[in-house]
Amino acid sequence: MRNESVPIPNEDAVVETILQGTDEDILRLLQEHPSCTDFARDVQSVKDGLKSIEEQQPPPLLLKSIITSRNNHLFSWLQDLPLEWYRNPYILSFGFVMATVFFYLFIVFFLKF
Amino acid sequence: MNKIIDASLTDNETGNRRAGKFKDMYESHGGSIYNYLLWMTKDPEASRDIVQTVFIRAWEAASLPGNEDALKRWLFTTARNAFYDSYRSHRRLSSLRVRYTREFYDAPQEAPEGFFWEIISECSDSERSILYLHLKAGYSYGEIGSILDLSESNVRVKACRAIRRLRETYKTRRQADKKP
Repeated sequence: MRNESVPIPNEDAVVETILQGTDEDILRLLQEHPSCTDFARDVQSVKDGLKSIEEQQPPPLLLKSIITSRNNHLFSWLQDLPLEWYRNPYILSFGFVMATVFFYLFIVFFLKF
Repeated sequence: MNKIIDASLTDNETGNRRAGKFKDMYESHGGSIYNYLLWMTKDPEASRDIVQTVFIRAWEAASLPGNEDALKRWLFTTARNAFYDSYRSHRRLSSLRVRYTREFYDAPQEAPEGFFWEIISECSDSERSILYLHLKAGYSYGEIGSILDLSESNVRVKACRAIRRLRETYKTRRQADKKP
């Protein structure tokens, strides 16, 4: 039974030993610091629980789609376009400059003819 | 660094050999990468998409590490980057998607369930990454640091912090279960 008044020496050290140490390291730690038995047991349970999470089956490899998705697609460059490209200040500035130039060209064209 | 896949290979025979090596690579490492992404997303469909992205990047890479361990580390790093890319690009669409799925159909609930699946969602992305790579893939803190581009001490601190937080949740739940 753990004595609640006795502080655990260093919780990080206990976690570290349980995560990385061998069984002998853990045993030695518990012998030196019996007060941390409950804490160590909980940490060990969490570690075992996480390790026991079942591995899932991966999806089948779609090799043909991987090969054709990028190489033979006419608009494959669209896939590489960042989704928020219109927020890019350089693209916005370029757009404004081009719009201004075309606007003046349009006015000049109208005034001349 | 050896090259096992040379992007300049074009003729059929070498192309088939390349496809064969690629299939072997998927069979060896596809499961780990998929499960790593499942820990990160907890969404099988998103994980399947990101796995395809990871292997598209591997297919497109000019050269890949020839050493199996280095190749696996490269795939984990690429998976981590693909996860963040996917997260960023889908963030804007997520609210629309949620509304759409609620209005038109119930999305299939195939997310993995269980006590530990619930409590790992309390960790941050990097903490989940570290825990998977350490506990499931068996990497040391130094190797995890090189995969996630973090220092070894930072990995150690994050791992300890995550385990301590999970231990608190575990303890609270256990006490709650004991109460009638």
